[in-house]
Amino acid sequence: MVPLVLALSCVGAGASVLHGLGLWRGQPAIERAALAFAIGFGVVGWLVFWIGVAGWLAPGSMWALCAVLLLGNGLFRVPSASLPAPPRPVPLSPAAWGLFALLAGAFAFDVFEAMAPPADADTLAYHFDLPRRFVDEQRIFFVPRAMSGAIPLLVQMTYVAALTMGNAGAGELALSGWTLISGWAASLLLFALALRWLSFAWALALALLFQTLPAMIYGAGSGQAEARLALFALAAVAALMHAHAGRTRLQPAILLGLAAGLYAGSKFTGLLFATAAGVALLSTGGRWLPRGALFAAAALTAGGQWYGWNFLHTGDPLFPHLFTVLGLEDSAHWTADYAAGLAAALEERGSALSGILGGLTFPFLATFWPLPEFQSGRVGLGPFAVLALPAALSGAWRYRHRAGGSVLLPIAVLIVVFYILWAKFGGVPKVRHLLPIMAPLMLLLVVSAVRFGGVAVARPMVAAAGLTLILQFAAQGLFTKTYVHRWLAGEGRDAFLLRVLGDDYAPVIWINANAGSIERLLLFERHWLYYVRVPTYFVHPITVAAIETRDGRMEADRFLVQTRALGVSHIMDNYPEDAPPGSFTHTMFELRERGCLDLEKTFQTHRFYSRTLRIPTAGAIRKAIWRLSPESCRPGS
Amino acid sequence: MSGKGKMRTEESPSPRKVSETAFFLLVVALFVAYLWQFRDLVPYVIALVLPS
Repeated sequence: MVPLVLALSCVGAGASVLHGLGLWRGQPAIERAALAFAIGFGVVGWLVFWIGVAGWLAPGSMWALCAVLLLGNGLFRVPSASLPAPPRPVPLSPAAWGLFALLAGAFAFDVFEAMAPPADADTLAYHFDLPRRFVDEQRIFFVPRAMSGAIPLLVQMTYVAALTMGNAGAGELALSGWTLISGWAASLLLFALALRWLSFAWALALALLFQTLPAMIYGAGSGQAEARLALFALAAVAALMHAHAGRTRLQPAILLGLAAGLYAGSKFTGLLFATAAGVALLSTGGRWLPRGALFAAAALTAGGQWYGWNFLHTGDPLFPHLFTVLGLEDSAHWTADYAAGLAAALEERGSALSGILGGLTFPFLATFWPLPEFQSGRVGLGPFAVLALPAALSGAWRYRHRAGGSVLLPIAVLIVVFYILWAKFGGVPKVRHLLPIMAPLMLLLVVSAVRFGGVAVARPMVAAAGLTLILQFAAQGLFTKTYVHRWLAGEGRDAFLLRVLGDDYAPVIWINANAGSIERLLLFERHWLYYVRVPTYFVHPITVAAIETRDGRMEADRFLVQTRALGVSHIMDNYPEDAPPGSFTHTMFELRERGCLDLEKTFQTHRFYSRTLRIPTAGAIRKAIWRLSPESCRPGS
Repeated sequence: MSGKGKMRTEESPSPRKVSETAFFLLVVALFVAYLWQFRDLVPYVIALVLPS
């Protein structure tokens, strides 16, 4: 119920925006519905931020918001594009029926995932955890945590809406239902846009190829933002199509600005996307000055709030990345020392992709020989783009004389400029961060190959799509097996999480069972934040400056002062026996000797390198839960 | 069609056919190359698929 109402509210909101821009009447029906969802998804996220900042996060306010936005669906009475009526109904081809069957299967797989408790690490760490905390407090508050707290959270604001509306215990099901729907929306928009160039079967195949990309299997059903950022990337493509078709019109520039701004409001790399979108807009020609001004104003309005929010709390709109550049003073949230440490860590992790040669070879390395830093392979972007590339290049060569005036050119500019900027400034080169731009890229490749590549590439393209779909569908089947097992076995929540995440989850069960005696838990593993049902404080040696936990910098007395100030009563950490002096665990040993800590519980735990394939990591991990005991604490020597 | 053209059609594949075959081979080669990185995972996939 909640996901459906929220989805229709998004469509209504987007329809109102598109109608207001004069980009609604006369557009193909499926395209305007899918585009309306994309823009409306962003509008809902945008509105919930302000409602949350005002402290009005309550079921009543969310349902009232939806009631208003739903009215926008009345705009579907405005005529859409009139298609020439076929002389008789055209039966679907066997290929289209086969694709429909695959599509139904892929969706059914995702339904099983949506019915299960969330298990993805990033989702548990912040995509779902932060919304849960906002909903608990009925307001949006600043989270002074670099990389996963003080970040643009527009997508997660829609999760806040789902959780709030699904109040009274069903919030999590409403939320996973919402990720199910929003995780498929980009494929619908891709299908709708592809129909402008491709046959029904090819458009369907393209959508299915995108929906079953390994990174989509991994991320669309969880809270990962990228699967939903593809909505904004495709909305930008639609805007560029409008901008190209009517070069004197200003409204497409506003739509493009909204799409780019919504992307920027959802992830820092959206700033790179907005820059690329601006360059792509310029490539369409026309009235560049008024168009550029409207584009920038729309982008700032749609995505600027999170940067202002960060600036308000830290003085750094891109907290903490501009700390050094802006010459900010050390504060409780961040220091020059931490800024240097984070910069060094990012530089090291980003060094896997550097230079022009690195940028040129990265797509192929990531596809065929992925380094661990790329996080491709099992959660990568699949083989299709590379398989289709020769045919697409052939099409581009054959079409080269007309390419200058083609609407495909600004789309290509958008993709290429974004990729260059991302390779240079994107930080850690995780392949899945390119997922949003994969949707336009796959559209471009398939249109170039199928429409312009000639008969020589037609059947090889079918082979490329067929092989990829078989592989990706099989991979999704493997991914879903555990969820089907849970459903068939009627497995409970803790039993499922123990089986899927390993007995690494066992300390969480113990903590929740002893919640009454724990005032606040300090922990290093952010992926347990969602399931731990006691107040928490997450620490990290690189991204959290409020408590010093870096090796070699630990000081027992300072640590005690910092933890007491935060009301910490318990600590959970890994418990290696050979902890070197200056390390966190060594400090725990020292505090234990002084009577400041009691070792309350230890665990031998195991994790999975791959949850899907049940590949265990090497060896067991010892974990400890410590209890602070200030009453018996002796001063250090 | 001229006699010369007909001779070529009968004795050697057309350029279109050659191109198509080349694209086919490229697709298959790239696909196999993509799969190669997952060779170590095969035992785990088999263990997952086979009934326990």
